[in-house]
Amino acid sequence: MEIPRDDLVAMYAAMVKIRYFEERIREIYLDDKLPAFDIAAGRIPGEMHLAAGQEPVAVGVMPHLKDGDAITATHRPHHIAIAQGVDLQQMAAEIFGKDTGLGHGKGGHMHLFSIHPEFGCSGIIAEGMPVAVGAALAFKKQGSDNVALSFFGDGAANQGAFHESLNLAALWNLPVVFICEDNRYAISVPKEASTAIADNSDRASAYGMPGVLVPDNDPVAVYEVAREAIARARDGGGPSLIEVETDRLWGHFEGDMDAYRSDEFKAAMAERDPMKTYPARLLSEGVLTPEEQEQLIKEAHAAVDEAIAFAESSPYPRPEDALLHVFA
Amino acid sequence: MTSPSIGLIANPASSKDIRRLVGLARVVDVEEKANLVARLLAGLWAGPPTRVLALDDAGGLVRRALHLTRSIPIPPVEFLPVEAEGREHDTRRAASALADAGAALLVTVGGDGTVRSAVEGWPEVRLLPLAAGTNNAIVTPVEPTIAGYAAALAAHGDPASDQELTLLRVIGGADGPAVAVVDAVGVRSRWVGAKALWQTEAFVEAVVANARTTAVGMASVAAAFGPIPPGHARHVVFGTGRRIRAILGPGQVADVDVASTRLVPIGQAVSFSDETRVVALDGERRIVTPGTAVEVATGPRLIAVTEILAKTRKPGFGSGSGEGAEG
Repeated sequence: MEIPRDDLVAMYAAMVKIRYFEERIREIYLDDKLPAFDIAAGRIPGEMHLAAGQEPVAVGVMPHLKDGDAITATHRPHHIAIAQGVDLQQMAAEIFGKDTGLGHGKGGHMHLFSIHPEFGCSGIIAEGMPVAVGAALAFKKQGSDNVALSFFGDGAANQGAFHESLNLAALWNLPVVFICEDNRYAISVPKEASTAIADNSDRASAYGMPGVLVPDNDPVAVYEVAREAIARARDGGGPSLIEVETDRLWGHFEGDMDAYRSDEFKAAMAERDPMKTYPARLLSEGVLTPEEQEQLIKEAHAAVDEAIAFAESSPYPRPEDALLHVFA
Repeated sequence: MTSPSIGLIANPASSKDIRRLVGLARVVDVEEKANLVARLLAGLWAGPPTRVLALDDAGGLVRRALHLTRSIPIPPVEFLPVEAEGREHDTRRAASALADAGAALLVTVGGDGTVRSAVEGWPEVRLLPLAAGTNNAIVTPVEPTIAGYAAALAAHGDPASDQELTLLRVIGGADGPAVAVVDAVGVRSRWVGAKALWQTEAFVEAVVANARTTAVGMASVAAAFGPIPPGHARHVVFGTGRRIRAILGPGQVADVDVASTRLVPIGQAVSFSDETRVVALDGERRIVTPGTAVEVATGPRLIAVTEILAKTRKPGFGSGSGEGAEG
């Protein structure tokens, strides 16, 4: 089955949007905090985890989604939210702590919640996994054919919530796909120093579900595997686990000295950056002309610039609204 | 005289691709693979003296096997000076280093893809491949302990009983040396993507070098036209013609239409047609055409375990395991 051109181009457009969004956020975030790194200073206070390099994991999955599908993501959520189509302006405003944000500026970049499309994320590692299982249980009880997707990192696969979630999902044959973004580091801890086995996809067999390793940070590889896993879940086939070996190009958080990864490792990541390799293939295959590529980049950048301008010009929440829209 | 060395490459990445979703292939997990290596080591010790030169693989399979065998006798195991990076080229580099080190033979633990990578690094290798992959067309279906025993005998014995395999050598299109040990398949798909082949409508043509009737994959299509004579490959062109029921992988049964077939002798090449956009080697999409051809060539030698055991397991022969004449 050949991949439709629209999907190939949509994946690239989302990648461009994601990378540019992350670059703009990085620039604004760091500008305000240097030279002496002050985490509380500036227009975007607090921690910032950016996903440059991990775009293929997000964009390869999204063409297979339909209205009503639910996603849970991690403390590094922007690429997934953008790929799913979460409102970019409201998302940017939330990151800037503005009243027009997804959570009226009370959540910040690690706590982005959207109802349409259904998206949530959290700063707590593996927190989204049982939430996705819950969404999948709801879909099953409702008799809908929606699916839930849980994105998590390789560090999260060592949390109890990972194992509990896979167990329940398999026990109840729920329509959920677990997608491990394996960038080989849990903050600064290398995977081999924290994980008993080489590949988390092996862990699927402990719960009686298929586990697939995608060893290439390639949107088309993710697309093909996700298509099968999502169709299987939608069709009543139950859960599966996908592990994608991906690259976090920048530090764990902005301001991270990133001294735990060697220069060779970083150079190898830069060399295989999907933002270089994927468009090169689209052009050489004639899927995209240089003119179409230029236009696509222009449109993606304009959308990001507009979203950030919207965020910057939006008001902060009023102090007297501090107790509104909170549950505890 | 030092004992002959047995090369050992265990591939932690085999048996993990999309075929677990599009077929009924299973995950061979790290513990099962390590256990398989451990049984191999135990079996090696049962034979005449050998030493093992192993890749210290990225999954730690051999190290785990050493832990599993810590209280039983095994031959000495040394690691090759090759740093595993968890990529496909680990196997290729290790095989090349084993050739340079003068290893007597190579045991691989993986599937057809593992064998292919090993042959790319060591084209004249004497092989004893153990099955831990998805498709295992080129393997020796035997308990690994027996395989270890046979490997030790083979390292000391006459290679005359080895089976010579035919090889497909890729000409053009690839970045480095590229071969296929089972098949090279031309597909219409333009993408390497998840690598495996499962969509029959994308098949254009296949060149199949080795087609046991019991093998799955494209070998099962080629085998439907009879055995491939030694020194030949079979070129299969898909299209309206004869319908073949193929076993493409574990749990994957599909009907494919074959327009024509022909035998291609060693020394001749097959150029892929313009319709072919990507060439899959041993079931993995890998090389983007155009301009790719495959040459049929003499390949590695497969150690004939059954024959070695039949020849050597006679009263009074071997390592003195107490076999006696039947009364």
